[in-house]
Amino acid sequence: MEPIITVEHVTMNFRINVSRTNSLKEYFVAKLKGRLRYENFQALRDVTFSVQQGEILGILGRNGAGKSTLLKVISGIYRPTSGSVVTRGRIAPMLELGSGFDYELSGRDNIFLNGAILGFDEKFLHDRYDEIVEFSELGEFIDQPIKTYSSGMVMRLAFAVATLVSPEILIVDEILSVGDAAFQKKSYARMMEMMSSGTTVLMVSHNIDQIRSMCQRAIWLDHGSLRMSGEVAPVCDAYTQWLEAGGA
Amino acid sequence: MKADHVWKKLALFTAGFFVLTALFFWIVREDWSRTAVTTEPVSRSAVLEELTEGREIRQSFPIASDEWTSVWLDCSLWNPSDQPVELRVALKETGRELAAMWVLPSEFQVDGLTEIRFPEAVTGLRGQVAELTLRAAGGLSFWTGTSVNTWRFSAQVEKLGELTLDGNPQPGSLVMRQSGSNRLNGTRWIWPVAAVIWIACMGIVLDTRRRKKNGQGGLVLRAMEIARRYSYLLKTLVVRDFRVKYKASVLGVLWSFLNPLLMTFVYYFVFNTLFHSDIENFTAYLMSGIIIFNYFSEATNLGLFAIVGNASLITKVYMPKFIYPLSKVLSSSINLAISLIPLMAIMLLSGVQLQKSILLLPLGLVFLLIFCTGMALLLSALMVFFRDTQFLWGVMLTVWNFLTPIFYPETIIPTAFRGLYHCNPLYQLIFFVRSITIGGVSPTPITYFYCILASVGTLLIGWTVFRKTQDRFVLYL
Repeated sequence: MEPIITVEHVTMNFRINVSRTNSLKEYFVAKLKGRLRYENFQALRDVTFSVQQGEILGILGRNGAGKSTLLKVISGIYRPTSGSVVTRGRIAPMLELGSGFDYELSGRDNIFLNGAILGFDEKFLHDRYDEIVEFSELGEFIDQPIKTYSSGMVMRLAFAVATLVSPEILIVDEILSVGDAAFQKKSYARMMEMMSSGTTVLMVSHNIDQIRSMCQRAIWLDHGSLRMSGEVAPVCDAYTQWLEAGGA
Repeated sequence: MKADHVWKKLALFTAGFFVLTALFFWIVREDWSRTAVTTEPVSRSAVLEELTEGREIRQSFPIASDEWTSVWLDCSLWNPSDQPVELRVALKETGRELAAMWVLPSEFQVDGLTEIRFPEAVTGLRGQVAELTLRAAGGLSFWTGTSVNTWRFSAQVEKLGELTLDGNPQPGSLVMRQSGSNRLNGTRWIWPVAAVIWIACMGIVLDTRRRKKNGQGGLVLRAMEIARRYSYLLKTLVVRDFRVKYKASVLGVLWSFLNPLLMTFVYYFVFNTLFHSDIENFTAYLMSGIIIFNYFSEATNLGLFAIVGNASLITKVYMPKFIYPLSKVLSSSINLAISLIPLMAIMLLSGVQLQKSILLLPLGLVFLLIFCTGMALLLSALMVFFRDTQFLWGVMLTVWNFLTPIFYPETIIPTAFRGLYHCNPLYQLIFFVRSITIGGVSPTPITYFYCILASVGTLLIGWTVFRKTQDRFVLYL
């Protein structure tokens, strides 16, 4: 079967402007003086892998290994410097909870705004609306502006929107480790439900046990390169060993 | 999609398209059959000796229009007699008389040009050399000049033609102007142009169908897919912007009415004494200019921050980025649409006769929308890379405001700069809207051409810059 995500030879370079020109004057002065210097930072180096539909893929790696960059390339936020990414279906990226919200608007308006950003239409969102409100446990607060919410409430709403619209691909970056115990339990159950219904999930977590228990396959990124990929158990074992040995 | 379904849609499109073309034809038919022609007089620099009994001035000049209706002259009155001034216009070569008039000196304006209408229009002699003969019993002297415009710049102009006083050649030319109109067969282009557009549309539709069948991509298919998927987002963003705008204000949406009214009120009190006499329907003139400029200013100011202000979204979720500036322009358009209501009210109150040309207003608004979208795309992209764009743009807007005839009449623009003024896209668009609303006539085809150039040209520039740079936005946010 054709994979739902194909990542081929993806390299992502960031050109860091060392001279830090942020204004027209500085830019032209620097350009004229020939001081417009750039430094290349390679966040991803020739990464190739693919994910089948319904698979749950864990992404391992230390801080700065390129995990978040990889997720952003897959979600289409970054365009890779070279290589290609092909995805089929809607992607709900949960890179940071509440990032698609407008804090001036009510929870209700934000459900539609956030859903629309993910590319869903009005009718679909209307059908899911009650379910989302119920899951988020917001009750009558749903008509209050989000700026009055506690961070836990924002989180519940964001999680409810991203998971209840049933996207084809769900990208989760370290979000299951936040929130109170009850919500963690509930969102964990919801994630398992989604996985069993065929949603493809990419997840980043520093909690190796979580990866072991939820994922089927894993990849390990080290300084932007793909160090290892395969079944979740061997990859996790190798990664843990490497971490214990000093991880450098 | 079923085949007959497509043909039905195509037939509907074709019918709608040609009905609109016919409507357009009907609206502009009269206005495109002739175009007004007025020549620019030289500026006063010298005065001829007093015109007394038995003396005569002769000025030859080429006829400027197909249908020549009047001549304007500038004279100073010393001690005029009550004998009429005699004016004769004849063809220089054959001496054939074209018009003869007698005007009482008291009919001349004390200062400035006086229009003298011909008893019958002189038709069909454009380009031929005519000679004007002036005789009077005394008390007046006519002004002459050698250059156009003495406001800072002056351009020496060639003599209109020979100028003599009692047969003696004189330097310069009379300060005079011809008014008339040229025949213009603008309407003959409407149907051929419409047919070309229709054929192009059909070509695109058929090509897209073929591509769809073959599973090929293509610009149109991609655009359709984006439109299908993100039209609801666009709508949500527009509604959001509009709601956030008037949030926490007591009068809310009423401000869209009040703002142009109050602005007009202020400008009216400041500039009424200065320009009132020069502009017909000064209030409506002022308000239309203010509303359009306000729209431009709001759309570009919001557009400026469209990408930077949505950084939290752009760095977290993928979507076509042009949606942000576009949504800002569209939400400003709602504002514009609302402020058209007080404009119409003011126009009707101040006695403007609405003509059928008002039906062209949607076209004018589309030009404005396209122009502002182009500007918003350009500015939002620039803003990502150079944050000083916002400060620069504040100054630019003020300059642009003064350079566009919003509260002053076009006639105070020195002739030497008229050409430059035509390069101001906003001037063309405001001129278009004023012409169809207050003037009650459709502008000539050249104005349509300028408007299309101004709007589509700006959009293309904005889009190109935006498209070329959009992949790098995330790196600078």
